[in-house]
Amino acid sequence: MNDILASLASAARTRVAEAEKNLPKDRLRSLALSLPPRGNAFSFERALASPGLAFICECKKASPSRGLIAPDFPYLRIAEDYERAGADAISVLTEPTRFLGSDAYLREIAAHVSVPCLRKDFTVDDYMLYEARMLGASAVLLICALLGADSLRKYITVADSLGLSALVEAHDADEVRMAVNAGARIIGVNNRDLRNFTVSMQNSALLRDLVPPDILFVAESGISTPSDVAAMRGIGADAVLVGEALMRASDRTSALKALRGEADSAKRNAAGVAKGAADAAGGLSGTGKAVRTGGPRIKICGLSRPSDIETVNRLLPDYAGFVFAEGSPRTVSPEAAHRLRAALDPRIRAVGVFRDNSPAFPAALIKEGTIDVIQLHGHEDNAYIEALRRLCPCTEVLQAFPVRSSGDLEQARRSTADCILLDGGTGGNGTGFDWKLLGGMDRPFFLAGGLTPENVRGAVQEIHPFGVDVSSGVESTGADGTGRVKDAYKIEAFMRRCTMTAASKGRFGVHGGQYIPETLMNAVLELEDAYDRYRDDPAFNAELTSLLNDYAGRPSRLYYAANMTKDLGGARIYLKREDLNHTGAHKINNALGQALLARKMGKTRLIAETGAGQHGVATATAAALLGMDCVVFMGKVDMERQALNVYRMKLLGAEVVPVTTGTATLKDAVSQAMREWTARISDTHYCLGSVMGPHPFPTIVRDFQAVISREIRWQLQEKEGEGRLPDAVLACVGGGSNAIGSFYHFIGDPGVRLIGCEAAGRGIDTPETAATISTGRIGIFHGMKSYFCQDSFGQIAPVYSISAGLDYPGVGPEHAWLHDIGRAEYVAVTDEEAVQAFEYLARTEGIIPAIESAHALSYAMKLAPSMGTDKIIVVTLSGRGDKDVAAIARYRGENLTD
Amino acid sequence: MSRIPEAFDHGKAFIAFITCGDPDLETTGKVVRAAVKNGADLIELGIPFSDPTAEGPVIQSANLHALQNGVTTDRILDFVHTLRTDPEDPVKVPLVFMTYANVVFSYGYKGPAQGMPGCSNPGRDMQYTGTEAFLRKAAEAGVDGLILPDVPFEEKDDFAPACRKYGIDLISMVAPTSESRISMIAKEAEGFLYIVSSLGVTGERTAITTDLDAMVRLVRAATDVPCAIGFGISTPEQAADMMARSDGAIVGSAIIRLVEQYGRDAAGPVGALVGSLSGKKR
Repeated sequence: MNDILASLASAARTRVAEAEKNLPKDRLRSLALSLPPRGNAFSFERALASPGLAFICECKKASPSRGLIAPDFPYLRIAEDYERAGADAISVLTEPTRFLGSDAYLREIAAHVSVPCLRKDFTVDDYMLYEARMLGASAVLLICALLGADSLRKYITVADSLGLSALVEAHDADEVRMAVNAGARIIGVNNRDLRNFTVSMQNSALLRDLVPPDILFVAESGISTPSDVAAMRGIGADAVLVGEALMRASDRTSALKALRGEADSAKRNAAGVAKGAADAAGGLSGTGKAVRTGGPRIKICGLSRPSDIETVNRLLPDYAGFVFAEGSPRTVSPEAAHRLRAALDPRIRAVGVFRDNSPAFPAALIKEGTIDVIQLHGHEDNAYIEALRRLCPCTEVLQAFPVRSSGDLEQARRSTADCILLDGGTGGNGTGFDWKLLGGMDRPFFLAGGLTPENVRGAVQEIHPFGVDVSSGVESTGADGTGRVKDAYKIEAFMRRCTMTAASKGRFGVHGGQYIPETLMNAVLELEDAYDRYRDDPAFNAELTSLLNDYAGRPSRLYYAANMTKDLGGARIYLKREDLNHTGAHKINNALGQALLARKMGKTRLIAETGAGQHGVATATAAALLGMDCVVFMGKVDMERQALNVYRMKLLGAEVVPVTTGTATLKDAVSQAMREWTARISDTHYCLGSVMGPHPFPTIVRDFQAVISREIRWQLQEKEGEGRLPDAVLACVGGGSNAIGSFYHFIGDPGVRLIGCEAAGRGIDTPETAATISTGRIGIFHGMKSYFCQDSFGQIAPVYSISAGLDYPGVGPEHAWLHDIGRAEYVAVTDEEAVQAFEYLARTEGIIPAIESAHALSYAMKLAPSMGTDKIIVVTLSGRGDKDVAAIARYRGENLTD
Repeated sequence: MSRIPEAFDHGKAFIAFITCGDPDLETTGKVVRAAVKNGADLIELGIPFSDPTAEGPVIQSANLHALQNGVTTDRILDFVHTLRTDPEDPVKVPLVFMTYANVVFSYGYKGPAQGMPGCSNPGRDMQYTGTEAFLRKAAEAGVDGLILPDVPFEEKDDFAPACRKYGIDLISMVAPTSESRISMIAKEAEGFLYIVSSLGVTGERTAITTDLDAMVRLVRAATDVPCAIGFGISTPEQAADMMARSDGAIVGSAIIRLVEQYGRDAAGPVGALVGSLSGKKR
């Protein structure tokens, strides 16, 4: 590391140490994590991913290489100017020693403008990421040269957990590879050599090819003229970071307009707003981690009729193509194109397709505003492109190459066009080629030729093109029976398939999804819309919080189990007392949330499944409180095991319907509730009790249960001192709602072990078990893809556990994913072990836990003695055990009668 | 190209649903032939699933009985093959499997209980094994189509590529709640489009109140693929009405009820019922 960088890093470490004295890291982290989820998470990368070259404009007062740049530094006005001029993002220097930056600049600017802000600083500690979140940044800078591969990876994960995009800065090939391997989604290459602070635009060009096309590429430093910008377009950069050139300009708005090309700016502004809104509506997957940056760019080519323009205006592909090359059935005259262009939505970039025309022809069309982008489809060479650039310097040039063999790719690779398009034929004839040929193509390209709505998803998944170009694949025979014309539906299907590849809805890795009958689809989509609307609604959240606190008795206690700790002689054990909630279990958190949501949706009737009866009681309670009808489906076997809860539900005014099909337990109750929902949707909400079923249920239930880990975080710090996190969090897992609620706010803390305890029943080597993750495999059932206990033909296996609440053959998709990525561990606990723990807690602490929770306790009893006395275990007591007393007595050979 | 269009070649189609292996496959074979002789133009063969979430009580219990009697997906595939290749009397009408996603997705799994250690994406490899293997064998056995009631339009790409590869039509469904989704679904329909007549699960209904004509109009505007109405049809009047409104009628629970009632002697009663419902005894 060079001296300047080293001194900046050391200053940053000193700053963090100072800051930590006032606000310890764990306190800051919990503050940052407890900020309400933002609709605009990852907005920085979405802004960079929108079509065309994005501009990140920098606010900086000084720099080590140039000294004081802006003696008077009206930072808010500068930011405003940038926003007005169409900046896609603003970079704010907060480094105080050499750049004379300040956190205050960032905080004020972020609050003042609507474009996303990057915290430009020398990140040396995750503390600075939490700070960035608190300051309102949308993105942070991570410099490879300052961080090892491990820290880089970790900080990207932390940034993800905060909804922050990470711009990972690399200077050489090794660092680019390190960034790619660490999972960077945005890589910036600094054209400035940090050893001597000289600038060479070659650096970006050299390193560009090492960055895969699905990672956003940002060129940083030294960009000061339109030709620099054109050069960066030429290498396929997604964004440029412009600093000094703008800071020193007297009129920043004009300077930025000049840089990006005057004609371009008004449109880009419009595009930015609309793109952002569209992404906010459907951008994020259920995990809040995977980011949809919009899939490949989409170009619909060969538009020739006014109705084609209506179609694309509705669907908003990134590019619309007009064919000026002669001899195509889609050729349009410049006059016709001009009229079509006038009707085209300005957010869509118009591409003119030419074949061996004089450069003056496309240049004239650019000049008169008929097209924005030039696509060359003939025998044009690099000299031709140079001539074009002289005529219209800021115009993007796409060059198409026919691909018949791998030899053709070499020529494409050498093109100086901004981007290349690889075509299976001579254009527009709908013939495809062997996509596998493209495996070796190392610069971004549009894929064209032979694409259809049917094959585009596979093509995108297989070869990850930068963009896709379609023409004949979205045409049908015209109404007059002759000729082929654009088919609005096929265009829509094509575009939908492109984006579906980027993020299928409600996925946790491969798990999740919406595998439900068509009859329920609109109901589930309606629920999704309602939840999106209310999840961040302050009035809704205030109402729910007041119900949880005043009615359900939250926050639930975090109790230090001194006797148990002493007896086991190891880690200190805390019990999160969800059993003390109203109705005696964690289930009320979700039931109140969903009931409130259902009422907002105008539903008057709740249906629910229940295993142990806890969720049924919670739903019946919420329904009674909110004046709704309630029907609970419960397996007949479970009704016998949990007679007390059956009667409680009836007292609360619910109808309890016995389910006799299958094993007459929880899974059959879920099936029956789903059947009931398909029969009566308009007034009925299915209040699902666990983090399972079709999207959005796993996300909704998780969010309502996440209050458990939110409370654990601050409660533990109150007892153990600022910054103390548990070393392990344990919870029982059936579907997994109390477990995910207990884990959720610790997922971003790798030091906290997350342990889910499944029901092994009579043992995982016997068929009488319910330990899904230990014994199941991937399948599709009850609306989701996840792990299930099943036979070799996919028949769902009858499962068994003494606990009616864990007696389920599947597990929530987020747990399946946490298992796949190794973030959470899942262990199996037998009936006998759970009963022993049940009895142990009663004797030792005077608390009778639910038999479900006793599974987690049992594993804590094994784990605690193996850990040092300075360690802390938190066990979630998901419910109280009154309901189980009779069954445990039976297990011990005693028959209770009144 | 599947045989499904043939079912709609001679006027309106009558489609019979039969759960395989209830009470045994031999009976299923007899019932299939009786249905064909009495005017069934297409047979939906149900592969039983342990937890059929879209079925009413009649088909649920047929599923349960079949599984209790030991029928498996492999035995059903063999059975279909023998129906198609019987030297005396091969079944020639189009055959469509109706089952649940997991029966296809998890078909024929042999191997460790979990993904390979260290494999970041344990789901992916297995997915292709199950679905691909199932569809290859189904195509070899002579099956023309596949209906998966728990796979909506949004998730069909888990199955559609393999169906296409093996020439099996993946049948789409539209329901009374589909509304604006009908065109989207119909545009990509293959084989025939299954119109669910009413809310709820399968099973006989005294009256169907959905505005089926409006649904059919939307379907017709979007596709040339024929459409047939199912769920709740049990009387000749209902069947005739549904065939008049669309391209065909699908009857399941009424047939299965007879199988449950008559067991191994169900072929005769089922033949008589299909004859009266189809109105075109051969």
